[in-house]
Parts: sequence; structure tokens; C-alpha cells
Amino acid sequence: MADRLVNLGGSQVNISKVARDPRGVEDLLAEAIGEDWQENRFLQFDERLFPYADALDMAEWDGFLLERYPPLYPSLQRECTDCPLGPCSLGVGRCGLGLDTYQARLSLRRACRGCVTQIADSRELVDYALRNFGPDHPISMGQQQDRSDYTAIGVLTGQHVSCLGELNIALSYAEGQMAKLFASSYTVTTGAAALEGTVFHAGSLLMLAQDAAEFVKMSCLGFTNAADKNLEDLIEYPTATTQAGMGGLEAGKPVIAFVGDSVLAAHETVGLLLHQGLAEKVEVGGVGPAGHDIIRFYEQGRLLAPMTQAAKFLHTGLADVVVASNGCLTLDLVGETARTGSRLIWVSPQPLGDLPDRTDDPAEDTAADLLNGAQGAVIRLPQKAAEVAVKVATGLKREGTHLPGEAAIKNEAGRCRDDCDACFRECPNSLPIGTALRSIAGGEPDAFNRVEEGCFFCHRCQEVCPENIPLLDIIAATLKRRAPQDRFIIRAGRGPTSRSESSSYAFGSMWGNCPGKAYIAGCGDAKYLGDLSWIARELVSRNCLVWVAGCAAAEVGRYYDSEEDKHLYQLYTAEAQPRNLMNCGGCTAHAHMLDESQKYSRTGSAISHYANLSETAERMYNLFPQALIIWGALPERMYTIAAAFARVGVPVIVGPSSAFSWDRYLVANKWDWQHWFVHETWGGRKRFIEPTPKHLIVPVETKEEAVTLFSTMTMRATDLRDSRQIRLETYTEFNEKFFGGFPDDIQFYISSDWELPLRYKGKLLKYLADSKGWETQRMKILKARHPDGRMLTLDELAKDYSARTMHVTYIPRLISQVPEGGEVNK
Amino acid sequence: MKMEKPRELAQWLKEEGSGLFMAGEMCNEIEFNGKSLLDLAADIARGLGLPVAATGNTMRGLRERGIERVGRLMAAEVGAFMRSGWGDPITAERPSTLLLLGYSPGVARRLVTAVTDARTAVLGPAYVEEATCSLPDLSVKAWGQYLDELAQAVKQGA
Repeated sequence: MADRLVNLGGSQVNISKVARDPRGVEDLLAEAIGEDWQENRFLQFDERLFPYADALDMAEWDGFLLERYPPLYPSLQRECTDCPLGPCSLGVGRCGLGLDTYQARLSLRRACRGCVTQIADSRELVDYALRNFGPDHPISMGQQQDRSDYTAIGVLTGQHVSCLGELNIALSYAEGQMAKLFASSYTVTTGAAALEGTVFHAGSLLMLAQDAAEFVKMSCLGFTNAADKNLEDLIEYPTATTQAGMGGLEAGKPVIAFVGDSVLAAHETVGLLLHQGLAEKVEVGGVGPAGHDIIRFYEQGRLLAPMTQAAKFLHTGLADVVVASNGCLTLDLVGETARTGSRLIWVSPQPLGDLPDRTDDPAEDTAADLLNGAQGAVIRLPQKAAEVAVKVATGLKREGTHLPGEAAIKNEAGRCRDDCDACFRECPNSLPIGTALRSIAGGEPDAFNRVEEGCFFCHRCQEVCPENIPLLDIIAATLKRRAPQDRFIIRAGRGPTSRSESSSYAFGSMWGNCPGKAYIAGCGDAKYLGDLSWIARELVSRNCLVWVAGCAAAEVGRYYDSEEDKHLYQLYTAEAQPRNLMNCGGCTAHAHMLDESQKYSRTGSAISHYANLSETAERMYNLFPQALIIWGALPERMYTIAAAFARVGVPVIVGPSSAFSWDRYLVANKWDWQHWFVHETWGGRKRFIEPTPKHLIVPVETKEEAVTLFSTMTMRATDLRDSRQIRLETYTEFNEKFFGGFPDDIQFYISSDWELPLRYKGKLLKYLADSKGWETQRMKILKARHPDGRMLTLDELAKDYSARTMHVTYIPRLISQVPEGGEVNK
Repeated sequence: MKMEKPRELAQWLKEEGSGLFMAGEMCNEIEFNGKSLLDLAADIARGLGLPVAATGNTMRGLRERGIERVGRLMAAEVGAFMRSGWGDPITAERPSTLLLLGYSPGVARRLVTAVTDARTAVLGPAYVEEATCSLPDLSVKAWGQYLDELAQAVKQGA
């Protein structure tokens, strides 16, 4: 194979020496090197490229993470049934499979399930765009993004995609990788940690697929895109005027509700309504991802409910026509619409129950049948599905409700026994269902409100009720009663963060006036309505930059300030600066959050992200103050999203109750101080450091735990003094406020008097002296205790137990190759 | 092991020396006729003389109830610390028994499964077969009575 040399400043890069097997991708690597590399880094480090990467290509980085944060498996499955030799009780299976590796297999399967539904959705979008626009159609993340901006596609493939044809190649790569990962989840017999690296990889592939979907949505379907705007336009972009919640539905108008991932039928439906002048006569809304997508191209669209509430919403029968597709969560669409009389149009390519496939039938015929009482139809063409949906919605007359009234509910509640409470034991959110029922029977008709708000509609309570009380009907009836008050204002999704934004906030977020960058995701509120908006408000009001996406993005808007007469999105502006709240969009917009999280490696450290995940992620892990909070996670997709963020150095906090059903956490022991070290980039010396971030994926029970943990998870080994000070201030404040004292591990994070937050300085010094044995005098630290027990001056401590402001690495090849005082030899 | 009688459980708990009581967020949410689950958690931990790992938001309430050997942890940290030599100053040695109260049955099952080389006792209202010992399935009312009797029994030295 002939060497291919690329000019880089005064140097030449031999592609075959920086990539293992560059055959077939020489041109894209040459482009990435020529246009995005910095000569200085090439000269100093052993730079490598991993185009169209396999999971094992990232082992140098994944391995570090999994050694520092070993997998903890709280799994209940102890028996393997994966092959005909089984079942095997583990122990060790007949194939040599151990229990931990089996748990890692389950973890990978869960991640694959989370990823594959997104890949299917993205494939549908890309194919639709290819058919309608052709492979040469240009695509872009926005005019204010350039090729140096990070994308999950660039980091995994090395490709800068600029047209649909290139996007198709990138998505095909993800599909091929997914097949390999799925096979691994049944065949790998040893090495749990290595297998967890493939879970990370599933996360990265999910982000690639979400990037692909967003490219199509913004470049072909007219979705909002902040990176197409000038900086001065972003402060209120898009304007916070979107109606969210079921209460926004106008009484008397027919409702078409879209459920699931696919937005194509909704896009066609809106186009048809506008074309036919029916937009004012029909309500178009969406549940979950579909809802978030609709409001990015249709101002009158309604965002009805998050996925945590999807099943419950369907059970109310508020929708006249349900247009559904595959999505993150499996719903009993056939059962629910049969119960409510809503008409169902299924637009995905898989069969759904006994619904007839009417894709090739004339729309008029299908609509007529649905109007005459047929329950639903499969219509796989978005345009035809839209035509039928509009005809049915405008012609359908539905009367009455299957849900019980107040008297009937009281009657049913009277059958609840106080010696049972099987529903309470079974409820994943531990909702006091039996207690509430007995209160209704005792004359408190509103007693079920609290239960309804925290209910995911998992059915378990009704399944175990020995009296067969129709709990689901009672819950849905309670929701239907609440629905008119369920209304709040949000800002629709904005899409990506522009280059000028990310450059302008980079310093604002690093120099001591911002505790960190918070990413908030999740499938909706969990046990308590309002948790998500509380979390967002606590963080944004303390000067964090807060990005939200997915179903959580709407729920954060619930907070209402009665004095200002404003909801949360109206209280805070929306540019990427401290104390701003930015809604990226629906589920596929999680990719914008992750892409945004990785920008600083290029902006601040000149690290090109193309085919270069390890180096990019390590820089972010070492330096940048950010963490992801996932609240109310239900489907597997959130598990995979967590893996994606964790892999690139963004620690993940998940909660509340539903997070404890995850298959694996990545948690470390902060007290094991020898576990925490780095290598100096210049010379490779090993240095012990504070335990930060102290976990990589960890569950919490309460929102107070979440924000408090956030304030330490944003600390980084190489923090600057002022930024460490504000993080310590927030950490101390949250601990005092919610738990009544100083954190027991705060001594790890202090290496200078100047880092002590001023408003706590005196108290903290006393605490350090009294509780940790430090020597202090007035407002000074004289000696601090090293974790090994020695008392050291702060200068000595900084030399021995800190990497503050230093350039450090965990990857051996990134220890500089330049000899001290020597010449570069490349 | 299913512990039908509070006194039996009290006896079992007293037999073990180095225990750690884990009090979860549900302690802040449940009341039995004016007495909170957190009151009972404090009574039982005090009766057994155990240090308490306050998870969720239980730290402040436990201190207010006079529990002195209490530290704030996250529930998953206990499993992580247990597998890597412990180290948390709440108790000098690695606990050999964990008592869990204030977690939903599903969460408790997961937490005890993540713990190796230690006995576990789940004091929730549902039988958790993965634990070394557990209460049987109980109604809310019966659960409150059980815990009340358990608190009395441990106070009296079983």
C-alpha cells in the first residue's frame, strides 16, 4: 500500500501511520487532517485516527473509564437461557460465562434495544429524504456551525457530512455496528468490563442516529435551527409562546394526536391542514417525541404529554384520532383505542395486532371505514396516513366516555380492604394507592390526585388487586378531570448550539461565575409532578447553563412564578450563556446536547474530533464542568443515552425510583484515595488527585440529592481556582440547605485558601479543623491532611495531591513524545 | 428468610455485631397514625446501636431525632464501597449486615442484589427473597404495627 502524505503546516502526515487500515477512507482522512488538525499537536503526541470505528477501537479510553468506575450490577437475573446448552445457573455457565459477564450481556442488550428503535426511526427519515430530495441534497447543522464543530457522526466515522448521500453512508455504518453489538450480547463469555465498553459504543451509535435524524429534520422538514441565527437573535429564540399540556386543547375541536418517534405523518398532516384551510378547525398535538417535533415546525401544534404519561393519556380518550408509530416505549395502542373509541392509524412498517394494512387502498375508502366504526388501519405512507387522519378527524362524532364518574369511583373505592395494600407493594413509585382509595370511600373525592400525578400507568396495581377494582379507569378519570388545568408555556426546541455561542460561553463558564453546564433529560416527571422544573430552576438560578431535551424539555416549563405571572421558560432567556435555559428539542435533540458538550476540546485545546473519540472525551472529562441529570427515565433509550454521555466524560445522575431498575451503574469509591490518579502529560509522572467526578452513572432517590451531586460532579481534576470556588460554594450551599451540614468529603476538593467560598469561609475553616484535623489560623489553612494521613502545607499538598490547572492524561500515547529540551522527531 | 414475628427478627438482628442501617427516602413519605416511618427508623437504629447511612433526604430528620452516628450516602454508594474495602467514616469497619428501611420493594431488591459478602435485612412491607431476611407481605397498617413492635423489641434487647 503506497503511503499517502498530507501536508500539515511544515510537516507531512503519513495517513497509514495514524490510521490502522485507511484503505477506502484515505480521502476523508486527508480532508480531516488537512482541514482540522493542528500541527503542534501532531508533533507532540502520538496522534491516531479511528474512522468508522469498532467498539474495540475505543478500548484505550473505555478501559480507563471502566477501571475507574467499575460496573455495579443490581440485577435480579441469576440464570442464563441464552443458548440451547442452558439454562445455567450462574456461577459459571457451561460455556464459561460468569455472572458479571452475563449481567454485562444484559446491560448491552438493554442498550441495543434503546439504540435500535432510534436507528429505525432515523432510517425512515433518511430514506424519506433520499426519495424526496435525492442524495446530493445539501444538509447542514446550520450556517453558524463549521466543520470543526463536533458531531457524533464525525467522531465515529471521520466523515464531515454535507449531503444526504453521505448521511446515508454514516447511518449504514451505525446499522452494521448495531448488528455486531447485538451478536456480542449473546456470544461474549468473559470480560464484563470490556463488554461494558460495547454498551458505551451503543450509546455513541444512538447519538449518531439522532444526529442523522436532526440533519433531515432541519435540512429537509423545516425544523427550527438556532445555528442558522445570528447571536443577537438567540436570546429569545424561539419565543416562549408554545402551549404545553392537555389544557391547551380547545374544547369542541377534533384532536389528532401523534404518538411515537415518527414525525413524517405529522409533517404531512400539518401541510394538508394548512393547504385545505383547516388549521383553525383541527387540533394537532403530540405525545412524547412527536409532540416536541411538531412544535418545531408548527406554531399552533400542541405538546400534550411526556412519555411517562403516554399510556394514561391514551386511556382518557381525549384524542379523536391517534396516529402512532414505533417509539421508545411500547404502548397498548390497540387495547386503549378499542376502549376509548379513538381511531388508530399505525404508520410504522411492522404489523400491529389485527389492524388491516390499508396502505394501498384509496384514502377515501379507509377513512369511510374508520368513520363507520372500524377501529384502525395500518397506513405506511405518511401522505396517505395524513389524508385519512384529517378526513376522520373532521368527520368523526364521538360521544360519551368509558371512564367512571365520581359516584361510580366512590362505589368502587368502597371495595378496597385495609388489610391488603398489594397495590402499594407492587407500585414502582410506591404510591399510596390503597390509602387514597379508602380516602375516596371516606368522602374525599380528590384523594387520588397525588396518585394520578405520580403514575406511569404500568398496570401492576390493577393486576394484583384481589377485588378487581378498575384502578386504571380511576387513574385516567382523575387525569381527565385535571386535564383542563394542565397547561403551561414553553419554548419550542431550538436545535443545535452555534459556533459563535460556544466560543462566547467557553470563558464565561470557566472563570468562576458558573457552577457548571447542566444537561437535563428524561421521559417526564416521575413520582412528583414538578420535580423536573424544580431541578432546572435550582440550577439555572445559580448561574448554570442549562440545556434540556426530550420529554424533560417540556416538563421543566411547569414552574410558574405567580408574582411575575410567568412560567420558567419565560423567566429565563435562551442563549448559551450562564443563567440561561435552552430547549434543544425532542428525543433526537439529545444529540445536540452531547455535540455541544464536546465542542471545547476543539475550541480550547485544538483537538480535532474527527475519528478521534478518545482524545476528545478525555479532554472534556479532565477539564469541563458538566453533568447530565436524567429524571423519570422509563424506556431503554435513556439507558443508552446515559452510556453515550458517560463515554465522553459527562457524568450522569439518574433518578428517582425508576432509575433503580437499571441493569448497571458505574460508581467508584471516593474513600479509596489511591484509586484516583492521573499522569502528567509532560513526562508521565503519576499524580494522585481528588475523587472527581466521583461517579460516572449513579442513581439518586430525590431531586435534592440530584442537584447536590451535580455540584460535585462538575468538579474536574484540572479546575481553575475561581471555578473550583463557585463549585464548592454551590456544593456547600446545597448540603446545608437540604441535609443540614457540610459535606463529609469536602476536604478532598480544597487545595488553597482562595478556593474557599467567601460566605462559608470562616465556618468551613472551623469544620476542617474540628472534623478533619486540619491546622488553621484565623482565615488561613496552615496544614491540610493528605488522604494518607500526613499533615502538609498547602504547597506540599498541591505538589503531592492535585493536578489543578495542569495538563494531564490517562491515555499512555498522549504522554508527550517530546524529550525534555529536545527536538521533535517526526 | 421470612421473618413473620418482630421478636424473631429483633433476635436475629441483635446476633450480628457490625451492622449498618440504611434509611431511604420513603422514611420521609410514610406515616402510621401520626408516627412517621423516619421515627421508627430512628427508634430501631437506636435500639440496635447501629450507625445510619442516611440516603435520600433523611439526614436532617435523623439528626433531629437524636441519631448521632449518621452519615449521608447515596444508596448505590453502599454497594460500591462494600465491594472495594469500604472506607466511609460512618463506621470504621466494613459492615457485615445491612438493614434497609425506606425503599420500595423493587429498589430494595436491587440494592441487596448489588451487595456481596454481607447479610441483608429488608424491613419494607413486601417479602424480598433476595435478602438474607425480610418481612413478609404486609398491609400498610400491619407494616406499621410490625415495625412498632420491632422497635420495642430491640429497645428491650429482644
